Amino acid sequence: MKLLSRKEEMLLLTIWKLGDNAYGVPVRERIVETTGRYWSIGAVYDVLDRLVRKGLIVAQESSPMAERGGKAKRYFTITTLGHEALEEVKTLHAALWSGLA
Amino acid sequence: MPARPSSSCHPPVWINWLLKKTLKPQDYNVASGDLLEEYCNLFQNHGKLQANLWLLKEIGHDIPAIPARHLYWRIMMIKNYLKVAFRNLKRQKLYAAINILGLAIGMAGCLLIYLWVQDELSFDRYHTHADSIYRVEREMHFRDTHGIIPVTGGTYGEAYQMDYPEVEDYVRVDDLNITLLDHRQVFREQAIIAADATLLSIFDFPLESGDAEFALDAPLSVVLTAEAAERYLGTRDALGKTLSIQWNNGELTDFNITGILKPVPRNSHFHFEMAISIASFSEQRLNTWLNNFLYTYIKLKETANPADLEAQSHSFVKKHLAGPFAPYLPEDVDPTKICQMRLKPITAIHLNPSKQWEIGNQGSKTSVVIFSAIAVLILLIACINFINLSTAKAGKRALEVGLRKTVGAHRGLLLGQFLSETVLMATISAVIALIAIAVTLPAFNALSAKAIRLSHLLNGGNILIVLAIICVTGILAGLYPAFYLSSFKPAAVLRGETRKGRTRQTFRRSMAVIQFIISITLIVSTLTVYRQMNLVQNQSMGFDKENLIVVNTLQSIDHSRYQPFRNEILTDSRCLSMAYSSNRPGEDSFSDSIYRLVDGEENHVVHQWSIDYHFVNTYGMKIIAGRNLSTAYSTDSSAVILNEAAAIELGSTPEEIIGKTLLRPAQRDNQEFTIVGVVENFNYKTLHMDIEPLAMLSQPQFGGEISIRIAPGDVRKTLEYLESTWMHHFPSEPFNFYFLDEAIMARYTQELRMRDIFLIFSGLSIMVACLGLFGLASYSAQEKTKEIGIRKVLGAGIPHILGNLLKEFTQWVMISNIVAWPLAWYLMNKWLQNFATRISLGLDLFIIAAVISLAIAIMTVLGQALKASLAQPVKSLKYE
Repeated sequence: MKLLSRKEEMLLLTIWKLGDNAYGVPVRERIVETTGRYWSIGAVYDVLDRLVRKGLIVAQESSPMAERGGKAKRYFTITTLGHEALEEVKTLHAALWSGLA
Repeated sequence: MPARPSSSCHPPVWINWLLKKTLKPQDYNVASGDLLEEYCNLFQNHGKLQANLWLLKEIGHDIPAIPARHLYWRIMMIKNYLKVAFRNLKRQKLYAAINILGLAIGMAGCLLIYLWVQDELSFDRYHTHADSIYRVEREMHFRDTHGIIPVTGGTYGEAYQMDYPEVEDYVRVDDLNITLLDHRQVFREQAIIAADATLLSIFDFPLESGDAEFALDAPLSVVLTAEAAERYLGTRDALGKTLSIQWNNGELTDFNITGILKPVPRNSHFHFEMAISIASFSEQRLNTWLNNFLYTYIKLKETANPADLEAQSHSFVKKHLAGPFAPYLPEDVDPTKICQMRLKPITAIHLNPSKQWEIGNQGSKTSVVIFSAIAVLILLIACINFINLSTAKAGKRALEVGLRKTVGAHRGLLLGQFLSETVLMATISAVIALIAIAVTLPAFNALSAKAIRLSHLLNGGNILIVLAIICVTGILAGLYPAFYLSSFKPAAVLRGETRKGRTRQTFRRSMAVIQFIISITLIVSTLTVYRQMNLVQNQSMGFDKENLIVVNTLQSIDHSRYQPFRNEILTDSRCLSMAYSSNRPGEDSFSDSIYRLVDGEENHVVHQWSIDYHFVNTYGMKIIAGRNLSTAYSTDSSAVILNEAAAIELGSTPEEIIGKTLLRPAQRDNQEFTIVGVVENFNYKTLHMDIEPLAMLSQPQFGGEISIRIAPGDVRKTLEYLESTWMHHFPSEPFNFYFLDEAIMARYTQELRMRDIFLIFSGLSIMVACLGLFGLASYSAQEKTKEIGIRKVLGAGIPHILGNLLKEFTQWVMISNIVAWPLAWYLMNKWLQNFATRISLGLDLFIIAAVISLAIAIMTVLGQALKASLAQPVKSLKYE
């Protein structure tokens, strides 16, 4: 399988950390917070879409919520495939860093 | 994180609309929820302004991605279209080849003709003042004759400049041949022009070195190209040197080289390598209204209107011409009535040349129009092929169309797909066409006497034309098939029904008929041009033009040397006879004069030649009344032989006019000539013109041409003998000879060239039409496989089936013939009007064309038809 891109890796990790609360808004808030950079909506949602298509996360929609004007939330959870991909990147990082600094 | 909803927080309404438009329906719900939540967070913490700013920022960031993505998919689709198109080409190699080849031939032919036409139209346009330079011409109406005379005397230019303030400048140009002595002390003949100094300022003929303003000012000045300088002086750097030219009665005279000329562009209506100052001529040669031997060009002011000048023709003729003309005209004739001054734009000279006395070989507007039409027709035939074959093969694509429609392609997309397919094919064809042009261009240039290069096609506006031809052909050829294909109903198609409409058959048939109409018209035209040119070549001229050698002497030759030369030549058995005369048949220069019978009243304009006693015999002319000139009659030193036309013009008959006396009333000497003989009319101009009255005066002292009839056989040996004898007797005269038949044919260069080009392009168009017919035939045979199978099972024989298949195509061809005949008749009748002697458009021509077209059609179709009728019925019917 192709290696994760840096953006995919960051978003996957963020979703993992957010656990049960991983839907669009907090994902974006958290990643902006952690990286200290501006992430546009498109930049986040596009990658999320791609992760779903690759089967690294699954999306599940909540029931419509009154406080959101009757709109549902889409929650993301990492799949086993997602975990494996993260592991792979991590090992790779370690291998690349070994012996340095 | 708990959301903090608030009823007071409402993002702008349009944002929801935008999201709905850009997002997939299943995403819209979630995304708009998320957006609302974030917006409200900001709204409550930072206020409405901040929230709205954030929204705008997000939109600014993400909106550009939408068209980018759209474009991406578009390109993906086009990639898919191309892939499918290539697959189709590969799957149906024969059809692809026919289609592409047909289009390529069509395009190549069309582009070649385009280049040719462009070159023809470019003549004389390169002059900076091209639009304000005119040639002074006279239009003459005298009795029944009418003609344009492009030559003038030396006085016209100055008169124009003096009389009319609109005339800025003028230049006189005379083209002549001279003999010069080169640096190896060899006499050489060279065509030159004599012109005013203004030649270099009115026209764009730049000098490489020398002072253009004064280069042709002084008498005995010459400018020449570096090539000519190298040829005659052995150096390209000849400025300031002198050139030895036989001038005034053949004396060698030194001309000063005052300028080195850049080569004259090919698309100039007159060409020269050398120009001498016209002031080198004697004053009396130039200062006359009567001796019309040169061309006068005037340059008008930018604002001037040439029509205003032409309108003042009456006063010009009255002021300048009436006086000098009067002695030569019958008293009752008003010069202003018979002569009108005309101004011809120089850019019009090449395509609308005068019939007589034109400077050099020019083109013809008719050819340009005819060839342009052929170019369009060839392309049209190729397009029709394409349309026919594509619709015929539409059934094969029906499933694809059905499937595409089922998965969501709308009609516009399919149109786009099929059009991009045809444009692709047109592009492939164009590449093949360009290669074909590159390969055939040298041959085409040789044929058409042009110097067209492929790079002409790829520079500036022409590349746009090429692209336009690709697009127009692609779209024109693709539009109907695209509409037709995209109209398939998916349900019907996927169920296995292909449409077999009567309308489609009719459409294809009428297209094929149009193709054949064009082809048949071209066949008839080619046959007509061929026949006419054959007539021109083989027409009995009234004299024997074969085996006649003409030696051109530029100056009158010394008679004390001519006689011994003649005697020596005639001792050889290869030389049968020899004559000396001022003119020869097929020549363009004439002099005419007013003649009257001594006992007659009326004056007549008659051409005059000077001949010696041997002329009529040498040319093998037929005497129909009286006798030939003869040394046996001492009175024959003032005798004349007329042609038949002259006898009739003088109001008599060939028999009755013998013995009468002819008089030139206008000339002071009042010389009288006894009419001793009348010859049968012979063609002494080109066959474009009627035979006019001619008087051949017995004046052996005025000559310029030596005609020698030789025995057929080893002509080269005879020529060597002639030349060595010539050099022995006339060491300072170059031996310039030509064969009379060749010289006469050279007058028809334009027509002969046109005939060849015609033949090639009508051949091409017929070929393209046949390709189409072949494709259609093979399709039709395929479509009828089952029908043929059933017919065979029911007992039909092969001839019957074959006949059945051929009948369809022969019908088309017959219909085409019927339509094409009147069309071809009309066009060719018009073309033939250019000739005074012309063939009649007999029915046989049309029947031959019909037979040819039918034969070609049947030959094209026969193979396919035979294959279909020989097929085993069991194979075609086993699926039923």
